[in-house]
Order: sequence, then C-alpha cells, then structure tokens
Amino acid sequence: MSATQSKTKRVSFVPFFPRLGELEHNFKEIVRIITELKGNTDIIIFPELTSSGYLLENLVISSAIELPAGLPKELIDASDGMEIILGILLKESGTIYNAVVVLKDKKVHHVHKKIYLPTYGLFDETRYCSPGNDLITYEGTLGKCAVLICEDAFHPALTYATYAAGAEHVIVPSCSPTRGITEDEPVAASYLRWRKRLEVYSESFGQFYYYVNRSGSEDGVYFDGKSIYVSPNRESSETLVSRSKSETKDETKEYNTIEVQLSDSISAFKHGGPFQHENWDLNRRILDKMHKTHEPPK
Amino acid sequence: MSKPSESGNSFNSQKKTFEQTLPLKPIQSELVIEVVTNTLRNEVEKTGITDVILGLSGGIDSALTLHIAAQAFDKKKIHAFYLPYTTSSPQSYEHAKLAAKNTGVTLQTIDISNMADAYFEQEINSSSNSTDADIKMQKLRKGNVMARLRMIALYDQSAKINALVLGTSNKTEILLGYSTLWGDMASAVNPLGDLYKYQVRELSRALQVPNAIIDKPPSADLWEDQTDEDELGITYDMADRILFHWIDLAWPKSRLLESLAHIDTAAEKVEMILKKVQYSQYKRKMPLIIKLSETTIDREFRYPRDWGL
Repeated sequence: MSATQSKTKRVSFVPFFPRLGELEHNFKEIVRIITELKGNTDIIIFPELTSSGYLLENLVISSAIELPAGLPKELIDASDGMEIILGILLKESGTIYNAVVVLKDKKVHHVHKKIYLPTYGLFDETRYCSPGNDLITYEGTLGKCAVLICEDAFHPALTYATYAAGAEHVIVPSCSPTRGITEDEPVAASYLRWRKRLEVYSESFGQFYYYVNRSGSEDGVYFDGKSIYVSPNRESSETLVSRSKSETKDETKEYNTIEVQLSDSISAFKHGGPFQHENWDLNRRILDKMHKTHEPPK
Repeated sequence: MSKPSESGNSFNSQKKTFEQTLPLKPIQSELVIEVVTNTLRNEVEKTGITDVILGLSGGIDSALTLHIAAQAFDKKKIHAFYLPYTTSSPQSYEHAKLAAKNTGVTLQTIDISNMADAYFEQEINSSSNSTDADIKMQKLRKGNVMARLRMIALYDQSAKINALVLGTSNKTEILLGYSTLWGDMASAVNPLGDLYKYQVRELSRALQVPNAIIDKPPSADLWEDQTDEDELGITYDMADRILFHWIDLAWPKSRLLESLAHIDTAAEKVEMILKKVQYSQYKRKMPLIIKLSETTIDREFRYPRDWGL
C-alpha cells in the first residue's frame, strides 16, 4: 500500500429509501448497493433506520431485530474488507432501541443506541423506543470515530463529548423530514439547521462530520436525501451536498462517494484552535455548578 | 448613529398597517416544487397505482394541483374532469380548459346537473322557504350536495380507470372549514394542504398557471357572482396573515390582539378566524370512535397510512 493510499479513504453516502417495515426487501436492497459499490469505496454510510423506515408506529415490534442474529449473513459477509454503517431497530432483552450498527471485516464492530429520542412536533420516538444511555468511540477505517444518530447531534454536549474522547470523525445517520419553506436561502429550514450546526461543530472541534439523510417519503413526509460532509481543514473545508434525484419505491439509485484526505493538518488546526487550552476538570465543575443553580422558568 | 427611542422601542407599532404588523414571508418555490412533486410521485407509486384523477373547477387551487401533477407524472396518467352544474359560470369552463391545455392534459366533462336536480326537486326545491335564512340554508345545502356529487363522480371514475384522487384544498380553507366534508375535502393525496392561499398564488406563478386563473377573485362557483371572500367575511390576505402568525409562528391570541389593537375591526377579524378554525376541527379529524376495547383504532392500534407500501 502506498503512502498516499493510506492517507486517503473513500466514503460513500447512500440516501437510502426504505420500505416501511419491509425488512427483507430493505436488506436485499442494502446488500445490492454494497455489492455495487464494493471495490470503489472503503466506508458506506446508510441513514438512520435503514432496515425499517421511520414513521413505523406499531410496526416497531415486527421491525426490531437482535444482533447479530437479525442481520442477514450476506450483509455481514459483505463487510469483508470494508466498513458499513447502517441504522436498525435493535431489540435487546425485550427493549427496543433506535440504533446504528457498524459492520467491519465480517463482524459487528460497534453499536450506538440513540440517546436523545425526539418527542415533539411530528416526532414521537419515546413512545416506541427506549433511549440509549452511553456513548463510546470506536477505531474505524478513518481513525477514531463516533456515531451520533440524528437528534443526538442536536445536543452539543454529545458532540463535545466525542471531541473530549478524541474522536476525529463523527458519523451522523439521519431521518430528517424536510420542513420550513420560507427561509431566506433556497433550502428548507430543516436542512439549514443541520448544515449550520455541523459546520460549527467541525470548525470548533477540528472534527470531520459525515451526515446522511434518507430519501423518499412516508405518509406525505418528505426526506431530502441530502448528505453533508464537513472537513475541519481550513484549506479544504467544504460542505458536500448530494441528493438522490431518482429515488423510487424500489431502488435507491444515486450515491455520492468522496475522498477524505487524512492529513496531519487537523492536528495542526487543533494546536492553533480555540480548544487548545481546554480545561476538562474546570468545564465539568462549571457545568455541574451552573446546572445546580439553574432555575426552570416559572 | 441613531438615538435610542425613549420607550426603548426603535419602532412605533402604532403606525404599522395590518400588513406590516403581520407580514407574510415568500416561499422558496423551487424547494416546494421539489418536495411536493417528489412526495406526490412517491406516495402514488407506492400504492402500485400509476394514474391520478382530479376535478378542475376553473379556479386556482385545482389548476395548481394539475400543474403539480404534470411535473410529477406523464400527461397520459393524469385524468382531469370538469364537473359543472347548470349554474356554473361559462368562464369556469374556459379556465378549466385553459389549465388543461397549458399542461397538455385531456379534459373530460361529467355534467352533474341531472343527478343534482333529481335530488333538489325531491328534497330541497319543494320545501317551503319564506325567510332569507331559509334561502341561505337552501343555497348551502345545494352547494354541499354538488360538492358531494362531484366527489361521487371522481371516486367512481377513479375505480373505473384505477387512479388515485388528488385533493385540491389549500391550508387556509381547510383551517377555516371552508370546504365540504366528504365532498371537495375527499382525496387520497392532497399536495396543497400545507400551503396558504398566498403561497398557492406564489407557487402558481412559479409553475406558470395562466394569469387569468391566478388573478380572478376566488369563488366556489355555486351561484352567480359568488366569491369566497364575501362569504367568509374576510379577505384571504387577512386570513392568511392571521393564520400564519397564529399557527406557523405560534403567536398566542393575546399577542395578535395587542399587536393589532390600533387597527379598527382587526380584533373582530382575529376572533372570527380563530373561532372558524376551532368550530371546524371536526372536519379535519376522522369520526369519533367510542372507546370500548383496550386496543381501539387510532388510539392504541396505530399504523402508518403507508403500511405495507
């Protein structure tokens, strides 16, 4: 392997369009896409709840799977020599979680259970799922990685925690319904919220962010199939937007593969960045104290 | 540098007009077209049905729905019907034809006059009517019967040609309850239901709906010279401004009333709009089911509409 190759990794974003509660169909389609991309990529990122779809309601019960038994063998085998990240509905000791599984070298390499389940507006996740209660990093193809599922990444405490743990790559599989049509920019408010946040996190913490939203629609709710890639390197910082223009009921046809340069410049940025003198103990003490003195609004 | 005002407010709300107090934001038409056409296509394709059907009244809402459908589907898969009654204005037909021609969709006609008159003769015309209230009620009943007959025709045709019925009601009229339950409100998918009337106009311009249709006064065309705004007792513009601030920007009623306190009759308009929304809530919900079991439909028995699609 040449030096250049070792510094460059190919990451594919797949704006998957699942069928609601049709696991067999969805897994077949996931394996088809992986097979198609194999050899031309190192990491494939699918969205939140890839295997089942999102607005499931009571379909959660028949859509939850145990690990690794619930994953088809072909899917686990497909991770031979590559890393596959996908959202599933996880059943563990009779409890259901919105989770993301990382498959690598034909094994379940890492699992993250969504911690913050949105239950407001059109969201009703705590009705159907239990929250995860831990966040850990893993050694992935890119280096030290963390997974945050959709709403998790709306909580700066969690993105900050990934930084505290030294994660340089944060993967954010998502099911973000498109909403808000009166923005000043020709994009939805829901998309703008994501892009702004990820750019701020990336710049602040010197991390790479990989966000993948699903495509298609459920019960009249649209998902834009946009992916956002933000690099912390000042000289190559970019927001990549890809979307599936030809999403149909049966096939997700368009993916976007990028090359990530794993140069030393992120550590250079960190040295010069605002967090170089981060005082973890002091931060924790301040946070505890501030929270204790917080009075909820009357 | 400007001097801070003594009240601490840099602007004086006393001088603001109704429009300035409740400003409306333009929509991102290109984004709306992307979301609406993709979602419409997805939701129809999922069912395995390839065709759509809709009624064209000659008005802006159905013309826009047709233009959206034309973005999403092959013209041959769109079935547009003009469904006139004897009193329908000839201009309505001209405008229905104009919309169809603009999209390249064939327009078919089913006259509902005979069906409607048979019922009117038997049940409405023969009843005694002396007061203005009686006459008003008869007009209302006839209007509702016509809307429901159009629904019957569209749903029957949808079975004949295996097509899904597209809705044409906008957010303003759904919220005000200015539509007929099980009549023009009936559809499988409604692409306009989250667009206020002013947004319907903006989108219509973006999709090049003919100006003659966009610019004429909105009318249900149930009798001669009828206009929606006369019947509602408020302009769509005012209704949109109140609804947008109350619903989309979550202004409480008290803030609406305070902000408009300096404008004559504004408080009445606010009260009227809010009441109309509240009184018509039943039209936006499925009929009540009296709960008996532990697993009642839509309470504990919850499945998405797209279940299995």
